[in-house]
Amino acid sequence: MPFPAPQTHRTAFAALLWLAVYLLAVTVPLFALLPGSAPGLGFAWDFSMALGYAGLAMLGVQFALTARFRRATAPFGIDIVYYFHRYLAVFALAVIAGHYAMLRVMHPEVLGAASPASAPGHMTAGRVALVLFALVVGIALLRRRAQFEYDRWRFAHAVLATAAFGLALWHLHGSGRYLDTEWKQWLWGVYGAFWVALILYVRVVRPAHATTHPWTVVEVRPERGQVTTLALEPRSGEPLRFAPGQFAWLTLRASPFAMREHPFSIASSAERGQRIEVSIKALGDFTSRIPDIKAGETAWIDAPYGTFSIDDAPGAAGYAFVAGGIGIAPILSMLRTLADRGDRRPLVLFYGNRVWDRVAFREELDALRSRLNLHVVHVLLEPPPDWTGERGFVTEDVLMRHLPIERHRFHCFLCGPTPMTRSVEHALGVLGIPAAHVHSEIFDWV
Amino acid sequence: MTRQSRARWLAFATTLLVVLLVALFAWLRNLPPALQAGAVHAPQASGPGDEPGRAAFARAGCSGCHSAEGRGNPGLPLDGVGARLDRESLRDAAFALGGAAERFPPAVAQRKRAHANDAEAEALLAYLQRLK
Repeated sequence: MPFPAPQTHRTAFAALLWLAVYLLAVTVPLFALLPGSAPGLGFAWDFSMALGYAGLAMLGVQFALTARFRRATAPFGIDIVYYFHRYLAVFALAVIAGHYAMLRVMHPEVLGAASPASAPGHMTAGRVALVLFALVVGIALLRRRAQFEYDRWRFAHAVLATAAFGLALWHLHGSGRYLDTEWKQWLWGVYGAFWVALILYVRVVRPAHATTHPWTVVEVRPERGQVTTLALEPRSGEPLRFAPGQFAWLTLRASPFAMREHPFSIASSAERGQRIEVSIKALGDFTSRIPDIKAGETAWIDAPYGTFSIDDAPGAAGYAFVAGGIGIAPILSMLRTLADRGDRRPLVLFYGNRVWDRVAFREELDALRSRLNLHVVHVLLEPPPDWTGERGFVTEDVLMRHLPIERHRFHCFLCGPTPMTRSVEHALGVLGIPAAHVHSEIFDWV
Repeated sequence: MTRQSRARWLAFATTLLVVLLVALFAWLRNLPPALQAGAVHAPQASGPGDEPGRAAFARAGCSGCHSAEGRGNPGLPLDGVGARLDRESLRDAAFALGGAAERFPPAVAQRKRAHANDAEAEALLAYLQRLK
């Protein structure tokens, strides 16, 4: 089974364990209906019915996948879990559509009248739930292309999905023939209630906890290339413990209940958790408003998350970093941390940008070379006339020219636009770097 | 393979496993001889005189929970009901009236009662009575 390159057997084991937990969460409530049930009504009938139960369970677990449980997301990386959530929604919708389609083909009379005026409430609930789920999935997939505003979409996504799930539960309890005893009705009642409770936990309990841990913006610093650095300090004075390269969910100018949080890599050193910095490039609705933030404003932080970190590969002989544009942020955190730790292992940074004037942090990278055994390779798409360095994209040739002979013992960290990450992953493989040594952070997973 | 396509394959493989487990569930339920619709009581061929009753059966949404003559939800077959119940007992069961009302969950009883005064109620009962 393909799953994200685990760094160790332990990670692989944890990943398999969580997959098993997923399958159990979806199918145990179904198999629990077997004992004491009336005889089957033919394979096709029972298969179509069970598809409905399993589809509903899959949609229930969807709420858990994005609930950011650190232990469950750690073996995969949260970006994989979000993608998993996205693709699984499409497949779960197919499972539910299969439930409906089989009945429509085999027993159309069972579906009865489609008009809500004459159909029983639970059948209408099932139909509306199916349409709502399709809508939720369709809108999520088209969000970027249709340029829906992120915050509004996220709110509508949560509300519509919860409403659809509630309607599907109603449909199940109204028509579910397998719930023929009181304890089975209880079991599925509690099972459904569990997912609804989870939504409440994520949307109410956790934000309530966050309100007790406010942070303050202590500095707003413009950087090159339309990047703004925000420095934040916890009002409690309690430092944030994180691994360099991890990210935080940041809420600004909104309550933690407002669902207006956005993920950003922490760019500062993990050795300085009492003051963290995030460096944000103006790319969208939220990010273009960052330069207006003033020192003294309140911020809310949910952190740390992510597995993109040198601390996940502490035994490497050296590290190679490949950054594209603002993809430098998590890598900067790793470099600053290595400098603070006095690490003298060989480091190579490939940093791709369009033009020299907009290379964020180029002066600091220069300065870091005196504290680290660091070789910085700037790669410019539109270099100035007197440029003698690398130009174009970070290609296999560029990598080969600057990576040392013992590169197969290095661990490589890639963060940038998806096409860059994809081509560099391929090139590193050609250069003999084992896939398990290549770590990439997906830029645009939300 | 990119992390995104890994996630896609992971989701696909997981869904495939879920569907296989669903198939296993359906197979296990049918390990004992399956109660196919009409397997207990062969559906009686009915005559053209049953058409109004059959139409009433469909319009009242009875097929959502019951099958008759091999059509509808096989979970609760009504073939043979005419031989088991007389007209008044059939009326009570079909429309959740009298003592029969307590046998049904409240929502089901309410749906059944809603059809007690339909113009087609007698045609429906006559049809059910002929399901012998």
